[in-house]
Amino acid sequence: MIYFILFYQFFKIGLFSFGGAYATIPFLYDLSNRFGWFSHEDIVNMLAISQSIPGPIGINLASFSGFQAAGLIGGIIAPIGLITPAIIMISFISKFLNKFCDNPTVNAILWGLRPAACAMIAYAMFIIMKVALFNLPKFHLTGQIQDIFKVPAIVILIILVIVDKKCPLHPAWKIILAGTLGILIQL
Amino acid sequence: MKNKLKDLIELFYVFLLIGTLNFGGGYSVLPFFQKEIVQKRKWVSEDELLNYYVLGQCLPGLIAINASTFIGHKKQRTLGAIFATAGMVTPAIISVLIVTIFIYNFIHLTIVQNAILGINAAVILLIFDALFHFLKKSVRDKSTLFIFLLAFLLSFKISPAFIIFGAGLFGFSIKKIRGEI
Repeated sequence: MIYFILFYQFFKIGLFSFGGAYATIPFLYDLSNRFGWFSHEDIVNMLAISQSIPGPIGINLASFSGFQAAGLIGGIIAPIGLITPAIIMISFISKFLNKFCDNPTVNAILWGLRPAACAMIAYAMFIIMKVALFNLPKFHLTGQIQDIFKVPAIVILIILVIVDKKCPLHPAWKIILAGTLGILIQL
Repeated sequence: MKNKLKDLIELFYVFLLIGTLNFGGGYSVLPFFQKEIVQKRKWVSEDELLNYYVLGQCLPGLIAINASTFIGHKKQRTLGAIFATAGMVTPAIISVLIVTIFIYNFIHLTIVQNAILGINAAVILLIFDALFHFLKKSVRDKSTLFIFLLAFLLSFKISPAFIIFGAGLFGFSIKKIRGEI
């Protein structure tokens, strides 16, 4: 039964998430709130690991989530659910491929939909910033202003921005550099 | 029949290879597709590949997966689409299973947490890049800016599927009222 729910939920994500892996994150938060399969902190951890292992991040995230919810089989079913709508739609659309994107009605829907898809990604970024750069639970506990910030993370972010400005790095190198800095700064 | 089977196995194999070598998905797979599928195997042309990327963005789901599905479909219809996509997701799932079984237990170790803290900072930057890229293309006037801001505020309260659905409907209605469609 849980497998069926997992498949359905990820099918829905595959159907409604526009804008790639980061656009699926708000849906994962929604699942976390409704089913409690994993915590918000888990999502941030899963995302960090997904960036550092092979495969599309969205598939990694879905597999992680499925695994947390229902073990090994869940880890396989969730990504399958995620890609099923694409396979169905593309098999259908391929017949009249070029007409699809030129269709005015499709364009009107996409015109309204794309900014909302951006908003989903912005929301995902906001949530991750909240967890990655700030330590709100600790602040609530101690009430000390300096406890709000995760100083090492903020320092690393600033270093990355500066390095990236000077010479743009491939995402994989950014991840490796950031992970190494994370370990070194806090030794 | 035999040729079809050979094609399907080759599709699976090539996408398995790309899925293993690529970290991250999205646009970072594009160079792999260009090398393995356009130049080496000539399954699709450079223009077709770009079309698939553009169309892949019009559709929901992951761009790299959508492009794989298109390429597989061009070669061997629906079965081809399934084999190509299966090849692409298999390494991603296996790597997650390996991490979950062997490494996730160590997630609370200080050194792992420290690495993750650093990686998260990089993730923020990567998401910002993606967001900036998409914003430039999609938010160009007052109405689209309004949709962006409203959707952002609503995402704190409402399930994302509703927001996407509503935004599509809103876009359609506005264009209809303006008489553009």
